[in-house]
Amino acid sequence: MNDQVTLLEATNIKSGYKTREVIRDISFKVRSGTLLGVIGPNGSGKSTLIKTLTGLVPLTGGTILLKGRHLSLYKALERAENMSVVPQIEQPAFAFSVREVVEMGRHPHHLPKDILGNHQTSVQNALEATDTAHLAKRRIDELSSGELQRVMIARALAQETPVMLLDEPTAHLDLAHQQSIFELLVRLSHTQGKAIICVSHDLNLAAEYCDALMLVSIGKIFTMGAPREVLTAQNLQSVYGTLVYVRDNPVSGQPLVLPNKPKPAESGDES
Amino acid sequence: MSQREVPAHEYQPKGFVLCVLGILVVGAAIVSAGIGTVSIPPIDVVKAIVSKITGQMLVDDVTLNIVWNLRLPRLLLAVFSGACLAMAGLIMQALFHNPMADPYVVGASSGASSGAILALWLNVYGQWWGIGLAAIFAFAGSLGVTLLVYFLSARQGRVQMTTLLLTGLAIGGFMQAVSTLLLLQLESFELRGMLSWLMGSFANKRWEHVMILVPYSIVGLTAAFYWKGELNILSMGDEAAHHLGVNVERTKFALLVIATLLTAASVAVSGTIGFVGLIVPHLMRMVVGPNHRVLVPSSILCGGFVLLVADILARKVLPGSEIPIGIVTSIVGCLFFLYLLQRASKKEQV
Repeated sequence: MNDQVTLLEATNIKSGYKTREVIRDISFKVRSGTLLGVIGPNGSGKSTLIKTLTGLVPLTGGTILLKGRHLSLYKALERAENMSVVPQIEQPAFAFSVREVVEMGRHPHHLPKDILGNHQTSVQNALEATDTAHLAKRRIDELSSGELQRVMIARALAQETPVMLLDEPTAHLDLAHQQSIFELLVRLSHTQGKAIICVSHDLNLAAEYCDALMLVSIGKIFTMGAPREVLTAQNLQSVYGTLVYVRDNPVSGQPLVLPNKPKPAESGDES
Repeated sequence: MSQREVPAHEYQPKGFVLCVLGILVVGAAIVSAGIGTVSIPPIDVVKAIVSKITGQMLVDDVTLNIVWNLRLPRLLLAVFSGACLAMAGLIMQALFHNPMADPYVVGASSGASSGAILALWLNVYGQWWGIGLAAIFAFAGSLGVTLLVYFLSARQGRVQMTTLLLTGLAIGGFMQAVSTLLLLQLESFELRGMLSWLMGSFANKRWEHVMILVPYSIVGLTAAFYWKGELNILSMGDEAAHHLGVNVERTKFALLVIATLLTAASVAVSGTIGFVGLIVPHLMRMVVGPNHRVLVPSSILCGGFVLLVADILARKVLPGSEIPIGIVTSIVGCLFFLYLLQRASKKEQV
């Protein structure tokens, strides 16, 4: 683990939309072999952060270095060779088959040097890793949202990039698939040395699997570090503005966040 | 975890579809070449073409002349126009991630016909560098209107489908008014000719017309072939395309220019032929699926076949006279489109 290199580095980045600055000042580094979870309330800028890191939302300040080189200097294909993205899913307009969608992940590698490469192996591996191999021939407009979500992850896997960004990859998944996707992310980062950034709304899943957590609040990093340091009742109360209990997961020892429902006597006039 | 094996929706195999379409195109072409004031049996059509190519006289001079100089240009125009319009429609549908888009939506056709009318109104039916001026006017009109619609709809370099559709409608209406104004300035005999040109026709077309269309078609269709991977990815959405390494705005713009070029070239020589650009890609998508590796060649062939058949109908429906081909494609296309909508809404209910 000593030969870890910084794959993605953001320095004082600012970005947003015409009338509204969403990312106000964020700096961080992600090394190879790291799974970083991004958490924070709705509207705190998590998705915009992902979109900024992928170059979809232009920077208004600061720098992003992908493998030590400015992101803006990358050509589209080169960027996709080094960074894959799982965006939030939307209903597809055309009925491609699952295999065709995953094969699109090989697009950045469709260069002469790789024409005889291992496309089908990569596609098959991606399908199997996401438990979608049995769906390969199905049309994507006939999938459940959980299945579609896994196909999108498979497409990013087929890109075989050192950096992966995922925007709520477990949003539509059941408990078993949530765990298997996070286990996959852990495997990819720890054994293949990928740098993975994953936005999650599920604090407990993130705590259980991520090496580090970034707690985002109103476009800035509130705190960043090991799950135990970040997920304290105090931090969560200040950022989310609600009361929580934090306990230890008796099995893994990782923090476990539980809702703290106000007692009827204390809640006053609440119905 | 659930490993249930659900029967996949299988599309027709690529080779089979392309072979069938190829045979249909050749068959329809031979039938088409036989139809006219003088009927020529299919075997003589084939003989005439073989004679011309090999130099051996297998048929008499008159038959050879009719087939080679009158019928062949006509059917080649039908094939190329159909291919161009189908491809233009296919590109538009991929670009706007919407299977209901067609070249007419963004004003490529209304611009082309306004340009061509302007050229005729100004009486500039000449040649420039070997290319017909009417075609250049039509191309300029088409490109101009498409770009106008595109830039009026763009917000921060991105184009919303709804905005584009409405802008296209508005500009289309405007161009229609301008065209009508120009049309009213024409003499009545010119007006009659212009009106039937507007609905599309392959009557009285010579090799010169084919020569105008062919270079545009070859450039446009080759480019479309080259970008079929990008067409697949773009039809998944702009954001997905960005992540998969497509330079989205640049590729979209290039493809839009290609679609415009194909539409403009076709409208300039054959007039405004409706519904082919919408229906053909739609139909082929139902048969071979949405993968452009198969969809591009099969739509090109199917477009050619559809216009060949429509041209045969245009000459056969009314005894003794020919109706504009655009009337045939619009009537048949409209019915087919309504059928598709019915089918789609039934599917929703189930």
